[in-house]
Amino acid sequence: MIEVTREDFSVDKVLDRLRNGRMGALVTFVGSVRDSSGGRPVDRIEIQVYEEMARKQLEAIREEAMERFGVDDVAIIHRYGSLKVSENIMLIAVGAGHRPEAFDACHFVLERIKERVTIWKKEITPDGEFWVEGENYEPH
Amino acid sequence: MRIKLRYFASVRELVGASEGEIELPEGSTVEGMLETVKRYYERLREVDRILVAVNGEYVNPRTLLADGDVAALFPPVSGG
Repeated sequence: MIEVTREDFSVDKVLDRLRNGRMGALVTFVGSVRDSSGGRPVDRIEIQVYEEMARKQLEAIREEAMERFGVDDVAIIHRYGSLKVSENIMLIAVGAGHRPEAFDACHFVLERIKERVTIWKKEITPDGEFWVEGENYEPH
Repeated sequence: MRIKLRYFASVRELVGASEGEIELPEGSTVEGMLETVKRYYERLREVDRILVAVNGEYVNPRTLLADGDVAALFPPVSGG
């Protein structure tokens, strides 16, 4: 399950859709809007996405994680638009037979998203608006 | 040949539009396209690094463009 959406999500509902009897471990990661960044207060954030590309990338990351770690299923939801402090930004949920591969796959998916998926964050602060610069990614 | 352009994040703000089009000579590379776009929009030189995706895939500067390609220009990503 992959979603790129303005809407909020319910972790419980996603887990209900994901889980099956083979899973002994369900690991979730929730990214949330923090009220500060680099020592400066943040009022809210705006997330922009290149949706067609991001969707394809998330599908590919999901499949790579399932193959590489042998986990049963992976759900990824990433929000965009204007988000207030403490709102959900993203959810990664991994279901697997056992916890080591579930944790490893969840971490892998998160790092891949931060590295390459075409999503950008802008922080709205009392001092102005700032795009968050990601790490330099070398695609080739 | 004609290339469709899409801009995101700080690149979009500096260009002042979310998309555009550019006419390039046959055999143009991604690097050549980027230089042409920067001549139109001088302020893009303020961006440390611009990444390019063509038809939804990351490409390197030497990649050849073809008529009708959609090239997206953006800074390093910061989702998650």
